Amino acid sequence: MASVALAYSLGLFLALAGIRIANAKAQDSTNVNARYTVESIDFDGIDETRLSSSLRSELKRRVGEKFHPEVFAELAVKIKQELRARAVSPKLQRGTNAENIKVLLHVDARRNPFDPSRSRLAFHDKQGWSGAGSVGFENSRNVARAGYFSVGDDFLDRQQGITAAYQRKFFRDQVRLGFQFDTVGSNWNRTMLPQTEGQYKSRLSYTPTISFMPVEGLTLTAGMQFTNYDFAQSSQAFGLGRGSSQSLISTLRFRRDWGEPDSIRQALTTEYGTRIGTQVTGGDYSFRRHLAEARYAVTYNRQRIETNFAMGRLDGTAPLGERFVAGNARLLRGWNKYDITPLGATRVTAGSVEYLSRVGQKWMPAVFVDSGAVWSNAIAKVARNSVGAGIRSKDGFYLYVAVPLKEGRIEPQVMTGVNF
Amino acid sequence: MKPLLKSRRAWFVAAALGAAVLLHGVAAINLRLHHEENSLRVTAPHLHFLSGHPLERLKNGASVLYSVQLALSTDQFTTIERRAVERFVVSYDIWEEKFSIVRIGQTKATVSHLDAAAAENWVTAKVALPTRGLSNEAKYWVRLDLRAEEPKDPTALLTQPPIAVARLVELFSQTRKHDPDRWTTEQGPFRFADLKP
Repeated sequence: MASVALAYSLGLFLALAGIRIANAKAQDSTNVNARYTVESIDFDGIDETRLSSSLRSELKRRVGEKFHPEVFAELAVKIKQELRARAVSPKLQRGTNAENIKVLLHVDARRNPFDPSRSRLAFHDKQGWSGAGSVGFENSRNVARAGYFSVGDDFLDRQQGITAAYQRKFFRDQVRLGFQFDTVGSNWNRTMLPQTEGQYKSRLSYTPTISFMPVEGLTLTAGMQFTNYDFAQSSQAFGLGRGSSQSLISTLRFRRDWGEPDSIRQALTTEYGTRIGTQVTGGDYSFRRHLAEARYAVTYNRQRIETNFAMGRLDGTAPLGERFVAGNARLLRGWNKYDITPLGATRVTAGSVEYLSRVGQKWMPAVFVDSGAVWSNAIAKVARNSVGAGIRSKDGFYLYVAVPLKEGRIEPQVMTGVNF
Repeated sequence: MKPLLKSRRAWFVAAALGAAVLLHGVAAINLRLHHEENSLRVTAPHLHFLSGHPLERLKNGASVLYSVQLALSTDQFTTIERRAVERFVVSYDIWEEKFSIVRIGQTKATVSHLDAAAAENWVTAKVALPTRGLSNEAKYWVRLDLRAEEPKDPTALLTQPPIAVARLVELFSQTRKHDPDRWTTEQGPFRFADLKP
């Protein structure tokens, strides 16, 4: 209880510290065009619908105002980041009368071929280092990405491997056909995880998919995943030390954001994925895996609240890697996955509420409460809670200290890293 | 016909040589020097820095920051005897098609409704090099150096303290092989005693 009280006190302090004194932006008196009124804002190089609704609202709000070069420079940076475009340059043109100007935003939408997004580096004091680096290429018809990863916190095993993916766009990017190869080596924590049937040394996966984007923000992906496993020792189930899994996969993803910069802004991301292992095509496993996740964030001035929720269920005989894990840097922070789910779980329900308050332009101190349970036939359903505090930066750095709320000895856990 | 052709060729050669000498003479006047009230000012009639990429940015409605250095040397710039550095924010009126300039720093000044030539003259003429204590009879060389950059926050340039001269000197000492946003011209040797006010 003392930890909860401490967390809430810290949250109150951050809230009070974050009260912002209104600071109106001074007009740029060095640019002679600041005396003109913005008549319209148009795009060159992209379809405006590719922008988020909040950014479109912000642009719309600038129409009818005096031209502020520094505001449009900031908007250009936001558009560049959101579209991951190579460059965005505002260009002024004469309006329909001598008091007005039109702003044309030229977007060079070609992505940098060495776009490092989806790369990350993380450290968890119980689960060690995790890192993932990838480079991508995208043009109007093709998307390709390749990368290397060594991840110790997201899964039951430490996975090290190479991934390569390709997608071809059709119908103005409303349909994508693609495939992905993964070759992954697994290291199992043998001190925590005894010799268990099903520990594999490596796996090789091939995943062809088709994705539909019928409306803005909604993506439906369906496909098959073919995986071959190489087991650490001869398996009672598969004899020769090899196994295979064939599964039908589908994912429904929705993302939307609302609001304008000076008012309340909201962002919602939901994802529901199923994976159905079948023996009809010769696979060794038969299982059904469902995972639903939702993330919602609301921002007002310097204050931000983020909530995350995940619920999963696994039935049947599935490879070990399909089991759910909590007690890492994503779910039930502060708990150790090797303590609460040494063999993984077949059920998970977990959530998190995090409060952040921006200090200056870059830093966001944060406090959070995580709560949830992971269980299966072999593990009893126990509700677990944790609290923590930390700091995040605008450019992806984070440092958190989390404490599990439990009886007996409490060991704080430190998580830090950077998302590129 | 042959002697005529020969004489035409000779005439062309002579004309070309004459033109080269004339052009060399014109090109030699890179800077016009004006010495008055213990300060040296220059105009550079052949130096067009409102051109290229900076001009393109200006015509797109952006502001361009010009840093200008006027340097004086007695040994053809092995060493610098004195220098003056100023910074200007230039913008281009989309409707009037005229330039507007703000000098930033300790003594602010503003001008507008200038065409390109007048704007270039205004910028160079606003840089004054103090000459008190310099010899009237010694030989000097003078160099005008301009650099263009796109300011990230032009408004902040007016409110922030002026940039340190040392930082600007460092800026001008950085040399790149092909810098399209840098212009330099020199004049010399000359004596202050020979300059008209």
